Amino acid sequence: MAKVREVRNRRGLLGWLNPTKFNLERWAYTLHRVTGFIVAVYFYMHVVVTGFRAGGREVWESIMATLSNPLVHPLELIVWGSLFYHGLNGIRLTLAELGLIVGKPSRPIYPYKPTSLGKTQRAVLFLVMIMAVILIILAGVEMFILPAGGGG
Amino acid sequence: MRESTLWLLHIITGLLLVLFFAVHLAEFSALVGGAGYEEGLTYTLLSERAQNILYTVFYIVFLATVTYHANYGLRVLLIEWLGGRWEKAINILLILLGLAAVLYGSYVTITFHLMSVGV
Repeated sequence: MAKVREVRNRRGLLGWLNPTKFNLERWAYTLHRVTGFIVAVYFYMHVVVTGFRAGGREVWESIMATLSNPLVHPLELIVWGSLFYHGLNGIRLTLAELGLIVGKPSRPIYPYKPTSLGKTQRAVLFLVMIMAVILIILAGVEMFILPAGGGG
Repeated sequence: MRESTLWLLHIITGLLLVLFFAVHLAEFSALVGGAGYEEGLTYTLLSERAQNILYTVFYIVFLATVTYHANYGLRVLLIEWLGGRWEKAINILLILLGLAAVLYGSYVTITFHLMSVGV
C-alpha cells in the first residue's frame, strides 16, 4: 500500500473533531465521522450478538430478553439515527465527489466564500438533515409507539 | 492496492450499503408490512428467513460489504488521529478484525441456514 505522508497532528482528536469556527460542511463532516464510528462499533457488536442465533432457540431468546430493555432501546435509536444520517450524507458526499453539486471553481477573492458551498450544496445538505430527522422519527414510531399500540 | 482504488471501493461499497441497509430494515419493519421491531426478531421468523438461500447469500455479501466500508473508514480515522507511522499496524489490526468478522459471520449464517432447513 502507498505510504501515507507523515502529518503532525498537534491538536490530536480535537484537531478534526471540533467543527466550531468552520463552515456548514465542516459540521456535516464531523457528524459524518462520529456517526460512522458509532455505526462501525455497533456493526461489530451486531455480528457478535446476532451470532447467538447459531446456538439455537434458547440461547437466542435469552440474549434477546437481555437486550430488550428500556436502557438499550434509546441507544439503538442513536445507532439508527447515525445510520440514517451517515447514509444520506454519504449520498451527498458521493455527488460532491463526482463534482455534481459543488458549483464551478472560481478565483479566491476576499472574503473567500467557498464556491463548493453554494446554493445546490446547501440545499442538498438541508435535504439530508430533513430526511434524516424524518427517518429518525419513523424509527422512534417503529420502536416505541407501534409495539405499545399493537398489543404485542 | 493503490490508495485511490481503496477510496473508490469505499464509495462503491457505501452506495451499495444504502440499498442493502434498506433491504435489511425491510426484513422486519412494521412500517413496510413486516412483523415489527420486537416480533420480527423472534427465533421462528429468523429461522423462516434463514431457510431462504437468497437471504443467506445476501447476509454474507452484506457482511463483507459493511466490513470493508467500516474498516476503510476506521483506518482513515486512526491514521489521521495517530499519524502515518502507525499505518502498517493499523492495517494489520483492521485486516485481522475484518477477517474475523467476515469468517465468524459467514460461519454463523451458513450454520443457521443449515439448522433452519433441517440438515
